[in-house]
Amino acid sequence: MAYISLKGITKEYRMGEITIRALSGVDLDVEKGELCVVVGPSGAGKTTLLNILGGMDGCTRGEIVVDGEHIERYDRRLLTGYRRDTVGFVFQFYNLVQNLTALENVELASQICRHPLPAAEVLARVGLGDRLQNFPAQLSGGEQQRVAIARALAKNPKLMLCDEPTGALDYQTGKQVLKLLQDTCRQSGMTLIIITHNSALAPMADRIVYIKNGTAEIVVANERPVPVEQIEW
Amino acid sequence: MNRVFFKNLRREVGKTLGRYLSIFSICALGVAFFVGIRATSPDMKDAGDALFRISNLADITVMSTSGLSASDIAALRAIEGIEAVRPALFVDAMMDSASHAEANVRLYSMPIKEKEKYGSLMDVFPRYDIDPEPDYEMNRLELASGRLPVGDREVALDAQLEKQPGIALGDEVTFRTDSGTATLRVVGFVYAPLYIGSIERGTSTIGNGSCEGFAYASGNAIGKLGTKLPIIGLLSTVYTRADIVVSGKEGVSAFSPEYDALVSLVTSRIKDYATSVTGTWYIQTRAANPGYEDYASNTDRIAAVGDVFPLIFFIVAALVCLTTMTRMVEEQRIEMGTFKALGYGGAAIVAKYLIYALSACVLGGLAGALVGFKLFPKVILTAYSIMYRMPYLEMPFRADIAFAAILSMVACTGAATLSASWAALSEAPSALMRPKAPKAGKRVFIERVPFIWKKLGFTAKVTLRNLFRYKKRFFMSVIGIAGSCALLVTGFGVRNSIFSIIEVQFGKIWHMDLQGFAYEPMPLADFEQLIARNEAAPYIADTIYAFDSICEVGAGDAKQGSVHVFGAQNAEALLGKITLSYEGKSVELTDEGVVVTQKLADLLSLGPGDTITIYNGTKEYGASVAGVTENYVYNYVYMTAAYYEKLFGKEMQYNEFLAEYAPGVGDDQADGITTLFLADQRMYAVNSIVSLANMVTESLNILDYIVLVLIVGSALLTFVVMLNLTNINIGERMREMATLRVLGFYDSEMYDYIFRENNALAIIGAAAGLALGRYMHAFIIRTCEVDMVMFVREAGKGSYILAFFMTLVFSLTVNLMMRRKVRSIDMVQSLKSAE
Repeated sequence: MAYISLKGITKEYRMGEITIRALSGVDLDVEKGELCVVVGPSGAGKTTLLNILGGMDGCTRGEIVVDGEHIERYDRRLLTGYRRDTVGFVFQFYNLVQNLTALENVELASQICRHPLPAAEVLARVGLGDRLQNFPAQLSGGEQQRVAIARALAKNPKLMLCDEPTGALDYQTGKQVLKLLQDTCRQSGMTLIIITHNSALAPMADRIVYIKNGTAEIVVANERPVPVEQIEW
Repeated sequence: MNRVFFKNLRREVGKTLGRYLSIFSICALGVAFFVGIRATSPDMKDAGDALFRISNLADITVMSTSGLSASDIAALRAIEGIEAVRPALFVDAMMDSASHAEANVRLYSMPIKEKEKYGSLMDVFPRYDIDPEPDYEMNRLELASGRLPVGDREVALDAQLEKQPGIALGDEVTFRTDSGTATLRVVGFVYAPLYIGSIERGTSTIGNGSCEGFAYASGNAIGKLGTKLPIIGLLSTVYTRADIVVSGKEGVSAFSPEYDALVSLVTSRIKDYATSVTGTWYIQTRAANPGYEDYASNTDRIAAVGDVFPLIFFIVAALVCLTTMTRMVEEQRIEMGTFKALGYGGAAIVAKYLIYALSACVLGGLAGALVGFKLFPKVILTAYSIMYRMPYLEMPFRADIAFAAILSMVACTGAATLSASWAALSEAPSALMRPKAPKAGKRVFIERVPFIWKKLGFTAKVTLRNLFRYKKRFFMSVIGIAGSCALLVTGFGVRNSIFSIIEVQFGKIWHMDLQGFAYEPMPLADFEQLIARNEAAPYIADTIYAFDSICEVGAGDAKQGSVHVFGAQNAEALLGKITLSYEGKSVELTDEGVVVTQKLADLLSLGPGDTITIYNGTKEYGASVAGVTENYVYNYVYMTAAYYEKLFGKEMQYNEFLAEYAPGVGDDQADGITTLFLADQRMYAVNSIVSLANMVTESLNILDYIVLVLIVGSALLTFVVMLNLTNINIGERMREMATLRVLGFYDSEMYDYIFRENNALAIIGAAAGLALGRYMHAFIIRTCEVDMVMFVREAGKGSYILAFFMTLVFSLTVNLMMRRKVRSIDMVQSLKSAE
């Protein structure tokens, strides 16, 4: 049984007479500790899929099984708990709380977790050990994203979901962030799923999923994933 | 501005209906209060004017100690400015009914029309030719039931008397005076314009001094009862009063200075004539009618409140519009930038927001005006109509007031919208289309105090930082809440200031149970004897004797009427009954000067060392002010007999006594004591202080309704303001809260995170409101006072506590209501855009 198993995930939006299908039956399995990259053109449904997997949205039809639990049956409260203890989310636009320092932003997440990692340590691990007391406005884009990653990591999640984490960053910084993610995935055995529209990143993953028109068209297992620093694009 | 523009605007309204309605409702509230309270006083004045006009209420009444002869009446008629004179009789009598219900009644004569028709009902030798002009109606009576008297054996009674058991239509009642009796049949119950109050009937010269009702009968009927006149001529008719209607009153309100001038002109002409007759003439205006002065003062009081109170609503309403439109403009940055990039001018872009806000404002204002003109006068005047007759009360839509209100509201809203949107427009289009850089997080000053900062919990730190980060929002919220809380403090405080008068005046300042007045001042020894020899003497104790006369006083150009010039035997005697103090310290009364009551000193801008002028007839006397004393009911100038002599150059005579009950005597015996005293012809009236206190309480009770209206309005405003501010607050932080939801915050944790801030704002705002309320209250109290009365200056602890408590309760309620919005935050939508 795969660690994460998605079967027939369908997401429909009904607006009056019009029904829009964001996802039409996605089937996907991800093993524990895998680094999975989801690629596809804009509007294909990548983000929708991630949102559903991350417990931020529900699906119209289908099954979501994570570590044996049927998430699609979860009610509001259970979903909150799922997001709280199981999932770590990283967004394209960081979504840090402007009014809190880097350290406090991470503490915001770690203080509600059951088994968190120490906030300062995690920040040190992402290379921001000396920037703990700075506010987001005093950090560069890359640094902010690293704080966001630290925030997700501090929760010690089973599953880490990243939606275009390097979308707002330049080439070098983006590479650094991806390297960080890849290393963490390898070292801690955390399952990591990254969405990107940049198909050049495919080689870094253990599993590559091509989403097109709301379905997982191709799923490819990669025998030899490549370290990010070696990939050029 | 083209079609698409208006389409956009219409859709905008539909999309943000909540925001539109919020501006709509706050403008409606502000305008409703403004017009409603301001319309009440004119409505009340108009009702009075209509009643006086339709009933043709006399303007002047002349009474004489030696009676008015026919030639006097003719002379009066000849005086310039007089339209009509009606000679009449009046007498105070005890009325007995078959069921032995007794009432103290004042009888007035009325013209009997068509005498010939009812000849058989008139006495054979009519002694009083009372109706020389039967077709000219003055002081028209209004029938409540039955009909008017048409003969000498019939009487129409005060409609109020019908409430007494044992008096009904068709009953025979007997009137008794010292000089005679008359048995008449009750044919009708009426309302008389002389008595505008529903309950107040004035004083009586008989019984316990308090008149319980009036009655109208033919002159012959009254003639049987005799009068207090020493002479009743058999051959010449002598009247006891002449009611006079002044000419030139068209279009003049009875409550206007023009009317007063008109009347005083005629009064002075009458006075001139009066110097040439024997006997003293008493010339009275409508002010002498029971309840009339009160009615007029009440219209003034309401007007005073209407001038100030609604302004605060306006300011808070303007503030709410500002915050709402600021938020709207911030949300639409990108759209504004796009329009600018497309080539629309700044004016066109701003026009959208202006029309949005102003349309909501005008529509809301109109709705508010429609409701306000009907609601507030209705509530307030319904309360007043318990005390006064207002049969011609109308509550029209007053276009001038509505226009002023809506115009002001539009100006405020317009200014707010312009200021919110113009700043955004000064940025370049590209800057507008980029998301606004979030305000940088800053260290709060408390952080620099590590001692406190370290101890604070995580949420507390977040709350504090959030509070102080957005200074503009912080101040707007605090001001909005403070303003509303201040209104609550003022409402409760005014109530306290009004009703504490009773406690303070009748508990702290006055220490007497009874006060009694003689008709004419007399030497001390005579008065002492009068009291001592009276059968009621054993029932009173600690009596002091005084001189009390109502005069006009002044200082510089300012004048003040209806002031009691009060002289006591000596300072000790006065202090035994009246506490003289100022700001907690006692005030001394010496033989070297007068002590003036606080309100009077305020009105005339007097202090110790100044001179106060006392007008007596044609003479003026300058008295030296030695001190000012705290006092809340009526105005007094206190002096000793010694100073009186110094000032007026003659020995002081006495006409008043103040006494306490003898041990074992209580208030229930007051009536009996009064009757005994009044048996002496020289005594005019005796009042128990308790009944005076009750009378004052009753007239103040009416104000309760007004204050209640104000408190409810303030509460509504507070609530709406908080709802609006919280709504905006949450709206601005959707992204932040969506992030929290993603992180896995449970609902209760979300509420804590957001609402803690609101609660902190509420507490800070409420605290500021208490301070602001103190000043507002003091201001309102001074503005709304009438000359006769001084309100207690403190708002009272209870007011502050209640206002604070209510503000907090509202805050918590609003938070409860907003929980739904927080719960339903869509994570996916909120985190989508780059902004």
